[in-house]
Amino acid sequence: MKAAGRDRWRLVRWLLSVGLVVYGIFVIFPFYWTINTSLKPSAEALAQPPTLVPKDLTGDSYSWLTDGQALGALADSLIVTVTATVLAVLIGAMAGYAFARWPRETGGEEVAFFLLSTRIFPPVAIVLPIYFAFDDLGLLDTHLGLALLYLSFGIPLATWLMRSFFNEVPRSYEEAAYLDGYGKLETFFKVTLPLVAPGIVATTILTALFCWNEFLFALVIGGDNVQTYTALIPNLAVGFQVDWARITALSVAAMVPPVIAVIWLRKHLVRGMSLGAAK
Amino acid sequence: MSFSLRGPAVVPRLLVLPAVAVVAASVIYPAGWSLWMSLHSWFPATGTEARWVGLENYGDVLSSNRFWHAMKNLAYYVVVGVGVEMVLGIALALALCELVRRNWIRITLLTLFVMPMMLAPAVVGDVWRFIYQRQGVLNHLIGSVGLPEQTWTSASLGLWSVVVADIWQWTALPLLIVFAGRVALPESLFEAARLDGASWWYRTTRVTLPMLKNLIIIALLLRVMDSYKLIDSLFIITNQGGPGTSNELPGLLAYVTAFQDFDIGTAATVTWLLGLIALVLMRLFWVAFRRRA
Repeated sequence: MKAAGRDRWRLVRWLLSVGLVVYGIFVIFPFYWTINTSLKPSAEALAQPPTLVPKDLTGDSYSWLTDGQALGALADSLIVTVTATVLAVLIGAMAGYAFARWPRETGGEEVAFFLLSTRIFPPVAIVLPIYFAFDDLGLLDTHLGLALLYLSFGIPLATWLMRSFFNEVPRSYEEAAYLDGYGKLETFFKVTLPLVAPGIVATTILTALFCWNEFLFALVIGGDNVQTYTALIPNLAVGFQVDWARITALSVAAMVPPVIAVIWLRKHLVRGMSLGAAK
Repeated sequence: MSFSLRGPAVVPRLLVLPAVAVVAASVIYPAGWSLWMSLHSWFPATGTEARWVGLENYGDVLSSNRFWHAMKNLAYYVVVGVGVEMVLGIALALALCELVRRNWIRITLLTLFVMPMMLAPAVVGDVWRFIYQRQGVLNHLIGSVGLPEQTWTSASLGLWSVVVADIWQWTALPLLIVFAGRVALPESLFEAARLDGASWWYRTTRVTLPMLKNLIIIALLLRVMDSYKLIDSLFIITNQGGPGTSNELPGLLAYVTAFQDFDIGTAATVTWLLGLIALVLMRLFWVAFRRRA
């Protein structure tokens, strides 16, 4: 009886281990294939049979990235991302601190949750009215317009995350500082802020990732003047003459910030991606 | 207590004000505008004024084949796609916890598994669109084991191709949440079960999973809430839900109706119907969240 149980456990272990390895390969393959293709000359991208390593290794597609359309698109993504992220983290940190310290006066968890819940609405429901409003205001196809829209989606995320980081700072630390004769502002900047610095970094990265990855708003609000790399992709990837070597090079370039972010944030992954639900 | 800018609460309220104001303006205004527009017929491309039609748009949408086809696609997408993500994510999370003892291997595998989730869905879309090309690597792989080549973005297969890309990207979400929950459970719980001679299967189904129930529900709700928002990867892999309208999901249907057909009243109606789904799910989420807390 005992022995049979052990055998079965061994079988389960074996199956789960195989599962982990197979899933790992499934995750890695598209990355490998994209990088592999980006290093081929355009003609080799769809060669039959596909080449597992580039036959004629070339950086042509990457040099294409540095001129014109692709570079402009990456720059537009960067400008909008930085603008929206800085403001969202600032406003979100203010609100997050208030929600954490004065839950009664600010409505605390319920109001914070209301902010977060706005992210549950389908973005397509938001972007339709915004399109006409921005048209009236002259904000279509501008960096400012797109950054404002990202800001409105970045603030709830930043507020919710910062609230949970501020919640982790024991209130007694601040009270001890008051007793030592620190003023309120001094306490905030000298005691509280340094303690949540890692949280600010994590919040900044996650908010920036949201902006960097966004597609629909960029497609609708952008145009000839402001075209992020995500909005450029469908133009490149659909049609009769698709240059896959170039598109994959653009994809690899676009993957760099998220991949660095994951590696940097690997210890914060759980809270960040589940919006604190797992906490 | 009414909201006033006097008294001891003034500082907290001033701190919260910008966030609440920006979010309210960017959600309440669009929601109200959409509701109003959903009661009108408006084709701005023809230069005509919006015309009041009452609930006509709702009747039209709810009796249109296109809408229900998109809803059917959404149901397939949620049941199969989110279903596989949940089962796979839970299984992988438990495997990581129970089999991998060295912390650096755990973190390395977790980091690897999470990478697709951090990418732009548009990038995921074009990575997979390339794999699905007629002369692409997937057809080559299945050809090398003797199977016939497929049009992966056809009317019958397109949705499933999007589902596979989605599983690639999002299995990590339930995986992360369940992993975090499992690691936080006290090891003594499992020791006790083991000493009682409970089998692995018994421990998992009677101890581990019930303890993680609320987290699993939260992960499921997060995935379902993302499903009706899905546009990016679908847009790129199937070239806007094509061929024709065969692979449309409701979010994309609203986009195409607004920005290709310029039928604003109908598009606003679809977004409001989606918004109602969102409100119901939001409520469920809040209940699950509060129970957890």
